[in-house]
Amino acid sequence: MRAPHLKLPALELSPIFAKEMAGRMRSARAYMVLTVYLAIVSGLSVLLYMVSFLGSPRTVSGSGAVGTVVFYFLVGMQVLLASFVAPAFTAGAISLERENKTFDVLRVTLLTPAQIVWAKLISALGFTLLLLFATLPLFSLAFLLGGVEPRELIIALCVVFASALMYALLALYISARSRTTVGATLSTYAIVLGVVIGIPLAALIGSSTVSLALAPTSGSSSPLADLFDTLLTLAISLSPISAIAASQRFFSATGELWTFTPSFTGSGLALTLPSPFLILTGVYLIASVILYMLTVRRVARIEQQ
Amino acid sequence: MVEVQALSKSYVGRTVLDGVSLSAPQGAIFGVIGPRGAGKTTLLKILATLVAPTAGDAFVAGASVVSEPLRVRRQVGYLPNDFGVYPDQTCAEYVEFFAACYGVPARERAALAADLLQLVDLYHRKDTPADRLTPAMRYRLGIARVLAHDPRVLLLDELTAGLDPRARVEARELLKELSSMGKTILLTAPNLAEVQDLCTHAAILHAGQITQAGPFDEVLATTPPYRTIAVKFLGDVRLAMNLIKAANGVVDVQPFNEPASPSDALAGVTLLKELRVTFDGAYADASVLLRSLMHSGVQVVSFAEEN
Repeated sequence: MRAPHLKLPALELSPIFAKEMAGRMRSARAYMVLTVYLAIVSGLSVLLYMVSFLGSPRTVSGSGAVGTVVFYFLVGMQVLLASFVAPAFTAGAISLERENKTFDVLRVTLLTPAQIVWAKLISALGFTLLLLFATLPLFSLAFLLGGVEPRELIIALCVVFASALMYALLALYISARSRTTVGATLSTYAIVLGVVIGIPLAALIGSSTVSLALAPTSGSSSPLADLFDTLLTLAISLSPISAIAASQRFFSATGELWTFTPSFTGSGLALTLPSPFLILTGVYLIASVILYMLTVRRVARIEQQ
Repeated sequence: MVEVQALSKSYVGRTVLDGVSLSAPQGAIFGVIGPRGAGKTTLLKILATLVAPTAGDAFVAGASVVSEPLRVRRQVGYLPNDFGVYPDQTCAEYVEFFAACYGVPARERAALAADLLQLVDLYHRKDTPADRLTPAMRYRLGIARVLAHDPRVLLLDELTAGLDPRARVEARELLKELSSMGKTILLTAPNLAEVQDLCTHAAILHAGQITQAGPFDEVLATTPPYRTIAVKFLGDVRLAMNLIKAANGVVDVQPFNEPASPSDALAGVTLLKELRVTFDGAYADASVLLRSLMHSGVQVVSFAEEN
């Protein structure tokens, strides 16, 4: 038996990343997921294009409207993928190791907890990114038809990548805390559903209720209603769907990509705030860093019980 | 090679290890002997740097498990009593993966895995998915895995639990071979008889405290002679285990099942259950145990002391 020469090379591919990717790409399931996802997204895009095209006037603006519909459909699919598929890959990353009784033998190797967590994260994100990039060529259909500015793609990409990162890390953290993968997956989806769907829904209900209460007769705006609108915009910035919708609305109205300026009737106050997609990107990146550190700490924590 | 100094481990309201001290010289096969719940697994987990001690320290090749866990991990190969494998890896990939986790350069891994699989007599299974191995083969694969970074100390929890008699013999031979290669081996077992003819040193761990420690023969001479009673029966294993555990003189009880031969299977012998009872009571206690089993509806087929 040869005595191996031991040192952890800094630039070599992480063994966990290599193992997870090899395991994932070796099975037919990965290719089936990719093919089915692409087939569904491209099929629905073409269907949407045909329906929109038939219902639109044969003018440049009509073509642009079709392009906008296709573009935002594709963005919506990317957001759903980032929000629900990325965490699915990480929700079992650590809890499965525990269930399969492989976690202890992994923890006694020379890999640090940070290396284990990082490798689990990038291997899960790697496949999600593959799915995301695979649909990028479909965006050319929207740009061909017009009605969409390349700058709107910046909004979509920032939100999609920040969401994929944050939700994957959220699932990883929950996985590190959970005893079972089923528990980790259910907990993650409950939180993600709450943020992605719950926040816009609550905002919609809250907005309708407060609008009725504050301007019951005239329908005119008041400083209080303006303040509420601004707070609502900040709140809905935390959900990828509503953040994209609000950013696109401000961009279409003012041509301003990075900021928006809420109006406060009668007060003369001019407040410039970051666009909702920037707020989401910032908040999600900060949350990602915190979740990463918490997950590493959790994995590193020497057994106490 | 391994020095344990006044090691204690307490959880909320429970002390698992209480001032444990022992010393295992290089090349020794050191048996930590004790019944279930004595603290054997906790001791090994502390030495593997998986669990932090509440007090005291332990040194592996001079490195402290408290202050230098990474140095300890370079020196230690840890095999838990029940470990999993990755279903999407072959045996060779499994060993190569752990070699990579210990920083063995990529160019050396394939040859190293081949060498180790040959050592544990699994080379012919190198392309078999690791989760399709029999328990005995999986145990040997585990040994190959712990050797991937050429550690000086091996920590083996419950050496041969769950293995059939032939696999136990093979495992013993393998460990002797590793010891002859200069490895220090710390293993746990429920009784001295389990590791007789294998261990050079032993320590008796009872309720978290070392009661005897030293060269194996000395420990054997000063320790109450545990006997093993094999109980074969038809019926509920849990009921039988609970009755046996409650009896006087019982130190430990473990399920034991040999694979049934085709003729046995035809005769319905697969329904036969077997428990191995580690016993240090009087013959009268054994007689009381047998009566209590029979009166409780356990259909005892045989009740025999093993040599």
